[in-house]
Amino acid sequence: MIPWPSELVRRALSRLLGDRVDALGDLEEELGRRRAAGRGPLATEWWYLREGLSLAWSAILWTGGDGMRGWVLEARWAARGMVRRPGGSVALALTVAMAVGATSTVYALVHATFLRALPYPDEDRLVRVFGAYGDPPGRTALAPLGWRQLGEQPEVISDVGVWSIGETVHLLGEGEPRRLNAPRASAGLFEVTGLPPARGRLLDEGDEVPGQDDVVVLSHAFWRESFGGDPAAVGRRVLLDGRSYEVVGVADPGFDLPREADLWRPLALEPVWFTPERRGWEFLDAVARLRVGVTPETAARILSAEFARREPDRAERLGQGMLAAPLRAERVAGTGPALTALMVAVSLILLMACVNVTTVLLARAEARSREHSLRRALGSGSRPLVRGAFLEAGLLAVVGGSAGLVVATLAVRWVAGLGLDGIGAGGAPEVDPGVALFTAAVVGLAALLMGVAPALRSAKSPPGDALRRGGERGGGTRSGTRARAALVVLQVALALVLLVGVGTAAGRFMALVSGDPGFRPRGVLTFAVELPASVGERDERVAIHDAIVDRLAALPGVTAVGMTNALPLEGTVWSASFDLVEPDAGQEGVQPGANIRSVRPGTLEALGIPLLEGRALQAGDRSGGTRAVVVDRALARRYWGEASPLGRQVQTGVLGAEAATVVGVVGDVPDEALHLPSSGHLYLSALDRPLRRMRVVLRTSGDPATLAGPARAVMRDVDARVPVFEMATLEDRIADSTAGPRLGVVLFGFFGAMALVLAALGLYGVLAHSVSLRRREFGTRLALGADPSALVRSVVRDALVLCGLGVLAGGVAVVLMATGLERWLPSGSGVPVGWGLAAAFGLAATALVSSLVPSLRASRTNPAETLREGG
Amino acid sequence: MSTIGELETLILLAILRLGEGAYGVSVRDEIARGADRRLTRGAIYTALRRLEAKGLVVGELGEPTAERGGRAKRFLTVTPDGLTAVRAAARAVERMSAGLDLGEA
Repeated sequence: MIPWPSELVRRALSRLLGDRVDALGDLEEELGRRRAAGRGPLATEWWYLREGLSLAWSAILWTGGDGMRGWVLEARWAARGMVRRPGGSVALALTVAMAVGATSTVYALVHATFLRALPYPDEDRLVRVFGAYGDPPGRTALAPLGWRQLGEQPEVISDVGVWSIGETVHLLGEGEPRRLNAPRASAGLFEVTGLPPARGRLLDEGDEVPGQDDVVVLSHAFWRESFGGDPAAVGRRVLLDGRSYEVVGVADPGFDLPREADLWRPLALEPVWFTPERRGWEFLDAVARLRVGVTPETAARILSAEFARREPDRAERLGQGMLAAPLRAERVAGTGPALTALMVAVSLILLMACVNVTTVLLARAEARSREHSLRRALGSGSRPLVRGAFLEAGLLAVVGGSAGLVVATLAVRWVAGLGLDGIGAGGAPEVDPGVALFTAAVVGLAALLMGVAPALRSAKSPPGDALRRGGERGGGTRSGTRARAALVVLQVALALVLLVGVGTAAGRFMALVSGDPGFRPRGVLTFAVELPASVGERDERVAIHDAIVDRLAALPGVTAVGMTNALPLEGTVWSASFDLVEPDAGQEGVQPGANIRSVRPGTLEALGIPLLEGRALQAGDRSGGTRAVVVDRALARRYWGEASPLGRQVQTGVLGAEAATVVGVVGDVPDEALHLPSSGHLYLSALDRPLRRMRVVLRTSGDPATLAGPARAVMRDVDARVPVFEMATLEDRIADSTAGPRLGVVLFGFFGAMALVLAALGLYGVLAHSVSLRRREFGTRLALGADPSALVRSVVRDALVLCGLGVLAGGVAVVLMATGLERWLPSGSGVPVGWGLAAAFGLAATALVSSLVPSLRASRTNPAETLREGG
Repeated sequence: MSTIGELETLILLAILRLGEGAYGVSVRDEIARGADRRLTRGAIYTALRRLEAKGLVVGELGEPTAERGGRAKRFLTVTPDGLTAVRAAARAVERMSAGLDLGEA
């Protein structure tokens, strides 16, 4: 953690003192004495700090010679100046601390997400490989045949590994069965990353023989958590879904393909899986290592060309092909724009903070202009004055920046604790040396920015000038007035840009979160159930599902019950291709793909997905009766255009040889994220294709959360072997899926508030200062009979004019940046003009108050008094 | 022969009064006690450095001890030159104040 300040001083001293380190010994000895005398620890700490710093100053002087001495004297002078005005200095340092803290926090996120390597050797050659269709390309997982074909491209791909998507098992042992994420992984998956096992061995090709695949490799995290990191875990046997597996090894802590895996089983597939008939079973995610010098784009082109050679029909008519995307980019998908936006926002905050501090330092420099003129008159060059100005700014930057680093450390820890998707591909974000270095650079930059105006001001104090003028009038110098005016304009412009940006971003995200998602999440409780592996095929599963649904429907408050293999926003858990029976002209040979949802009749109603055309699935829609499917609008449009798909027939391996008729069209629901369109859903009946793992959907008339207990009780009653998990209201699930955007809104809101406060403080500071400089002038005019309200009006008018200029400049900047904004925000219609006007109005109001308060105060003072105190 | 300032004079006098046990801490305490002056830590070590550079004081490292954070003491002795300098300074004060009525302390 952060060491005590005294420890820092101690370390600094032992370096600085060199051969005079005995002085540090003396200090330690006295420290011991004070402790023995029973002084309080805080008082002692404070004493040590003071004495240590005194010694450190001297040590710097010893080593530095004359040049250094000048700097140290100036620094001391600056430090004393800060200490003399503790309130003001603390406020300035806090301003810097907040701005630097915010900047470093966002940078730490960027650093962890984009700049730090994934924990795999040569990770830049690792890509995810997908099937692609349409334009812009949608993605599909790979069928075993597709995986095998990847392995036949040695000139592009040196290694390829796959895992099966979404497979879970139940770990049986003492107590309730535990549900584990247990993908089946090819041996190549471990080779492709190049990470050795932490214990034992990894899966190899010998394990990929059906019947001899009773071995597992544990994830490092699961091994630590469930086996307490016991090395003897290797060689033990575990009971998964009633089958015994031998633990042969533990993976490297960095190995996380896929992220959620608890353990990996071998991918042992019968030869039939590699036949063209099963090419529709796309359940494998692939990672490949490209040959040196092959880019993902080249790889995708070559793989697509190979695909076109093998399957010319699908390639031509549907634009199907292959996609390769860098593994890192996949991890951080969608994060980039938000982080860029945040980085821009904090940069603006930093600039505003610098402008604020500059304003105050400039006022201080002006207040010292008499001293500076005197020093020049006495023969001092302008150099020490410039140096002094930069030192004052530098000191503030360093003190504020150090506090900012602490702020960033805490903030980053908080964000890391949220565990957001896409943040920190190269490990959890933290304030590491890289971030600290960045902070140091920011502090240096801030010092320069804050110092340059006061330095110029100090350097321009002509000898004797201020002495002469000081007696004559008290209106401040003309250049000072101009500088202040420029700062006000800059401040307002920056604030406007920031507020409009923040408002736009926040508005879009809010619309995303509160907009119509295509279903009605309110009042719905969901949970997952998974039938034990011992339960047989279709009829046995349906019987249990029937019992579950009937019993749940009888619960008081429940208005509808459904079951689906996946909920909206759960992503593509099951995609399959299908054939169009009697294709239209131009559709021959087309083999479309869809996101398959297996739902019991009544589920879409329970989820509140509207029926647009035709009818919903019914109990009789199963093989033997009518084979029926329902499609969503996105899928209908893609394959049948504006024509109605009702009555059209499709055929898919998922449903067996029998064709199914499209009986209805329902509204679209997003499958991955709220701001992404539906990839096209095909709903088929769970009475036909009941899966072992299903999600129950309970629509209620009251608070869905109150049904959690009764629902669990019902489930125990129906079948105690069926574990219930992931119970949550649908609204909470959506909240989780939008945690990223929400955090974005919170951060943007926070930065917006900071911008407003900074702008208000800055405006008030500048305007109050200029009024105070004009007190003498006001006094004279009042004494000569001027109307106080006219004076106030003139000050307010000046302030509003400056503010107007700032709004104008900011407005121009916003328009210039608008195209940039579009790129990093979820889709929406441009920058909201209303919001821009509101921000401009808010800034004008701030300017009004900031000028009104000090000018009113000045107009009420006794003119004689102000005239007397001038001089 | 070097002339020395008041601070240096006080330090030399303190070392002389302390004899064998003179080092940073004791010199500072001695000046606080005898001259009623609390010198800042920086000032005293800077002055000592200067005195050593002028050859008026010699420092010699003792044994490191735990209560000093493992750092040795630097024992101080006034050299013959130092003695001459302090004598000159004291004489200067005597001569300059001779015949003046400075009142009672």
